Amino acid sequence: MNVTITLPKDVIAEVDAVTKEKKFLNRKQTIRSLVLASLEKERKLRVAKLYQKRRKTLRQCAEMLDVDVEEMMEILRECNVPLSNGSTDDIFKSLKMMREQQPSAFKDSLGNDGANT
Amino acid sequence: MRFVLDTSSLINLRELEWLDLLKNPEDIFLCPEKVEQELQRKKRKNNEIFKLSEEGVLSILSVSHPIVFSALSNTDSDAISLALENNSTVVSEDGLLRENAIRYGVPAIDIAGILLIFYQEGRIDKSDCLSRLKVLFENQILSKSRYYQLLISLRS
Repeated sequence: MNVTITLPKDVIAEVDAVTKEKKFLNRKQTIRSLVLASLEKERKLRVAKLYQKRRKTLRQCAEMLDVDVEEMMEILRECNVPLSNGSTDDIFKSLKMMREQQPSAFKDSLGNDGANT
Repeated sequence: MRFVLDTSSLINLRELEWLDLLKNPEDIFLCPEKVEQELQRKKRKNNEIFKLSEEGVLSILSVSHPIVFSALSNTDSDAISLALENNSTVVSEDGLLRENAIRYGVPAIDIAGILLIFYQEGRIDKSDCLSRLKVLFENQILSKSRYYQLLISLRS
């Protein structure tokens, strides 16, 4: 499918500079390449946001972008999305659960919440 | 203590060269078969993780009674199921996975959580814990808010 676009003169000059620098055949090929790269970046950002908002897991995000888990971790880094985010409530809640479920594993073995909870 | 390690945590421990943290005779570290299969795809890179399995530090187990979590993938679900079957804690950097585990009554923490436990249990000192948390933050493994919340709890 063909799309016709109008661009300001200075943008066309930039496109021409990229065409020359990257040795593209013509403006059409340059613009096509830039649009595809930009869409790919946007797609990664959109998926990274889903992970950040806890709407999708790391694996589901990896599947969406057709990459493996480790590559998805790298994409999150590129998108400035930390791997482990949100409140630390989950850690403290889990510590409490662990003390109830595995009391003998803790040094004090009293099932209390410890000094930091 | 018993932990079930997910791919994200194992990869980060490998990357940070912190796999030695798992070498503690007091703890049992488990890994679902599906996670191991995931790691096998980059066998050479994950060699250090497989060594732990050969040394008996990390046990690869299959799930006997898999629970299906509609919001999660099969491998995510297996991590929680294995933790439930073995009265263990899930260790994953994935917030949605942790959320589902906790809702199901299975404790779930990230590497930062392991550091906190090890500090509370006297296995690492405060400065070691703090410097490792900083490394997690600087490597974008731990979010800023999570990092600061942990700093506050450690200093209180």
